Amino acid sequence: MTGLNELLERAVGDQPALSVTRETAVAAGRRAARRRRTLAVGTCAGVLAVAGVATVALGAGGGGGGGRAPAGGPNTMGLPVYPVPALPAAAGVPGALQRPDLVGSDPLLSHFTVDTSAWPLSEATYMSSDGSETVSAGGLTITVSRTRDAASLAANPELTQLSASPGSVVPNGDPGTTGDPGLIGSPGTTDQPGKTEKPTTVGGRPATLTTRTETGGKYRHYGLLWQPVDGLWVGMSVESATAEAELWSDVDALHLDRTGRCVVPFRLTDLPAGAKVLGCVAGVPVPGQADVKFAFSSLLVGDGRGDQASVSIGEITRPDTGGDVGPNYSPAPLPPPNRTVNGHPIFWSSSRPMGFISDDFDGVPLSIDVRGSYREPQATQILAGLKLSANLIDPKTWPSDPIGR
Amino acid sequence: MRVEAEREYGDYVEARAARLVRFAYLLCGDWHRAEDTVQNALTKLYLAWPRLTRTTAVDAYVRRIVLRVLADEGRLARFRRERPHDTLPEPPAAPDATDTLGERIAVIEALRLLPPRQRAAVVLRFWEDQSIEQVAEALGCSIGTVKSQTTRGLQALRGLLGDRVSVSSERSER
Repeated sequence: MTGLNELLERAVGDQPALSVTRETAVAAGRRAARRRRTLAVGTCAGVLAVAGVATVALGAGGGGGGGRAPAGGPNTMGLPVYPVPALPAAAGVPGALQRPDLVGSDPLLSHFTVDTSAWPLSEATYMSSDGSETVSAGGLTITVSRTRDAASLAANPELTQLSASPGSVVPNGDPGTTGDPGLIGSPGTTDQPGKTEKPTTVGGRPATLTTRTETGGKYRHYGLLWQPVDGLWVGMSVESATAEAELWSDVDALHLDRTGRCVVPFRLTDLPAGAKVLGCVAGVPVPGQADVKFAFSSLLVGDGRGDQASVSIGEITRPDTGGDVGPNYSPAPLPPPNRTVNGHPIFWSSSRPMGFISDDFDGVPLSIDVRGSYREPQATQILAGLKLSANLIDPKTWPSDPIGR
Repeated sequence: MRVEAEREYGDYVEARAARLVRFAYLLCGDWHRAEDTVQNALTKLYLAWPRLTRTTAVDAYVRRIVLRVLADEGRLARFRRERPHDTLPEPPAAPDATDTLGERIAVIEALRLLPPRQRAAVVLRFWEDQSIEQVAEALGCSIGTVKSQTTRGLQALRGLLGDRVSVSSERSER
């Protein structure tokens, strides 16, 4: 005789290989968040539509396919497109096309730009991590990377589950494909309903185009993966309510030969000894939105060995209030301030996440989370030296260097 | 979502996705549907993640989403595309004790024959090892209902699986 628990455990003993992974879950979550956000601002952003900008971008030397050659997709004439708020230009710094090896090497640089998106947006978010740089803008996500994996994931995360087969559209000599058989399947076939995959070209370079219909069939997802030059991968993800032409419009708006500076609307004038910038997330709102006062931006500073502080504005994660959560969960209000730093009343949380948190720091949600050996003294030091920009919308007015006096 | 929060979310998915899929499988009897359901639940979790801070509470939260998604899509009732029976049919053939595959099939078949709420109560109680109070919260019903549903579910399983299953009535009431 066997316990029921044991019987049930045996019953799930033939679980097949899991297709739900960290990557697919994060990608699906990002898409859902983008949909939610875009739908919320669609009406407002609609007035910012600029017909024909895609054509201008192409004529001005855009086109992600090698930086100069036109994309291989359909003509994008006449498509409405929406300006993507840009980072300040980094003059004299080569772009990803010229120096693929520099991509993702400096958290304060983005080695590509994108002029427009075919979907309305309320803000653009620029991120840099080790070896990869990403911009998200409405339904558009672009990852430029030194590794194929990161770009593939941006293009179509679900493809990580597909089997490789002869005929895969992978440029010859790509070291990234060695030992990585699961990323691209046979053209025209996938093992998931509603998906198609076909070879194409971008600027004369081989590329893989995947399409998928979202649950409910309302939106179409397009993923494009290619290698504009050796050592550089681009993965692009586009959601569209209409046609593939939107994807090619976004490709045309991509500039791999331009570089922007990752800036945030605050400056940290005092850091713990040995701390430097480890990561930068720059959220740049589309100007002219009456109800948008700021976007989420964050700086990660630390010693590179685990002692870190994350300084963020625009969104906060509330500390654990001890209550359970459920389908009808709503966040509890923040506890009242229990510290005063430089005249600012603020709540210090010693629970996870440890740090300062305020939903109204001069009108802006702000948090400083600390990890490693950093504790309240380090967080206080950072907060005391924080200078918030007066203008939270225009990145051209933000400090060119986010740290230092 | 901020980068660190997303990393934590990814850590959670990495640690818990497989078990969540097994949970959904026991409820719906189809691995593909189970994965689809968990993926949907995890997407909802992503959107809620900045508000959630406790791993244990997150587990309960996701289980409730899974139950709700399955219920919304009728998958609890359409276990393997079949409808629940008012009366239990003939029990599945009893496999040899060493017949692992046969045993799996028998257990899943037996679960299939339970009404949805009984099945959910049994799985939550005896596979997830949830307390009666936790099961009541997950199913949105009273403690008394959980007890009765669990007891009936166990009785049905005993009838279907014979002496292969041992569960004390004391545990079912605790």
